[in-house]
Amino acid sequence: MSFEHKIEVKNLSTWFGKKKILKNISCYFEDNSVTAIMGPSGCGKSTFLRSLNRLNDTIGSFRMEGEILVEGEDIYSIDADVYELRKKVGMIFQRPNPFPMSVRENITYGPRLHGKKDDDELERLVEDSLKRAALWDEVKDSLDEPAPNLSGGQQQRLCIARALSIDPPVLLMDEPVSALDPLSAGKIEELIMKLKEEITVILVTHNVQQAFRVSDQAAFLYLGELVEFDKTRRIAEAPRDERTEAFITGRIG
Amino acid sequence: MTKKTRSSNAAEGHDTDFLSRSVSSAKTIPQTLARYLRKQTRSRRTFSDFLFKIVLAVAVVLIAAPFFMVILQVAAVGIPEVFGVGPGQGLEFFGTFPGPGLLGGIRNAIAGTILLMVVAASVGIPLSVLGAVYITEYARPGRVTSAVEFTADVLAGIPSIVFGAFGFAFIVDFLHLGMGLIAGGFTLAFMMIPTVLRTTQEALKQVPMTLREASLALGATKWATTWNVTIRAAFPGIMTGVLLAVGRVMGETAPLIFTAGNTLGVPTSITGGGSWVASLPYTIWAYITDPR
Repeated sequence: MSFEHKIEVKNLSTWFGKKKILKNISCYFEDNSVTAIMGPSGCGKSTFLRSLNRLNDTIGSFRMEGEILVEGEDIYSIDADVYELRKKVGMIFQRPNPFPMSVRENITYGPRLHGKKDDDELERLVEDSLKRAALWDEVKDSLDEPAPNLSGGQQQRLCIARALSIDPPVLLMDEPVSALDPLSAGKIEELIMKLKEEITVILVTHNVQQAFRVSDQAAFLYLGELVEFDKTRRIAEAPRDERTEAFITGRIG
Repeated sequence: MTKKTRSSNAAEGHDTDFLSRSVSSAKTIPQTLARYLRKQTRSRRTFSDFLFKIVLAVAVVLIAAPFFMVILQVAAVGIPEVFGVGPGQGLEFFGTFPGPGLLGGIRNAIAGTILLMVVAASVGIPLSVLGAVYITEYARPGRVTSAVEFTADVLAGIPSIVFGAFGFAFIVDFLHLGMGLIAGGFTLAFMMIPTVLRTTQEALKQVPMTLREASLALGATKWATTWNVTIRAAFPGIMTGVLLAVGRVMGETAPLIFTAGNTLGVPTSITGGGSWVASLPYTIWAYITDPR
């Protein structure tokens, strides 16, 4: 199947109850790139991200209009398979949320759900995923330890490994380092740069410096509106909108 | 201050002499006590503080005394029976069925309590855990969920004899199942439900939303998420509720009087007269009310 963009968002508006959160957003995301979505708290960044893997569906009052195409398929159409979608679009959360199981079980959880039973294959997946998340060397001797015993930074990389275990072509990251210390945050930033060689990364952040460091293109959301969407370098050098300029120079946010 | 201290020492002088034969240390007990009392009565504030401390200490003693009396009483009467070697004592007490008069043991009651617990737990626990999962994980919060919660809270406060009367009226009489293992076990199961349901609910609510989301985001269905992640994370809390409930109904006599019947042996059938079953609390009750 051919498609123009990895993910394309067309005229997306969302509501929680009567409150309109996102207002008519259109943008697209390319393969092998990192897109940063910036904006002050409460501007709808997380809602936007969670629309891309339909995680907002779990909230009863959620309603949306518009279209989101992932690999050319409308994910909100009536015959879209939400479980297949979430296999393709992984997600990392703001706070590390490893399952209360061993490190190994955290990684094998996803593959098992999707029918992988062979022990050797699972074992290989554990090693591969942990290596891709740059965590293997630190935990290879403690795979059977409970995951919540790891440090915060290790937990977050474990969550990344867990998401990678089912090999998603797209990874959504919702402020993945805001709960971590600077050293752990740095490691995860490096990891994001490495991951984009293989997959599409969409990163929500309220940290402008981080957005500029790691992303290829950037979007600035303000009060539910997509104010600016362009190459990161262009936005960093010459923001077109004064609200963007105010945000990246630290006057709002 | 110095003056006071000196005079206090002088005042306690004869106390020291009084006990000097038995107490060889520099400060005798009455001396220390007197110093302590003087310190506590130095001003109104320290005195009221001291008084309150006394009141609290008295409360603790009053609470603890009956507890130790119960333990002592049980130990005094029980130890010879449990560790003795005479007829009907020691292993024989636990291992044999009751004989004529006061002979024999309580094997019927031990076996009966275990059987009743197995029936009650295998009915009550799955029902209440599944119910709690439904109302916390699946149902939209609303009138139905709060009605269920309210009912459970009311049931938890109902006296156990009422459960016994209900068990008799509904299971024994209306359903024609008769007294015995099934009627007794189900009545105890009813009693377990409110506790297990509410504690399971609380345990499920303690599981962070973000754990469920992590599982859903991996493409898990709601049921897979609930079973593999939510219930697993809430398991210690659920177990607390289960143990609490089992412990509670294990000691109940009242619900069994009209429902379980009694026997000197073990039940020989699932329904009918052969299913009459003894239990430990019932046996205690029977022994106490027995004129012998």
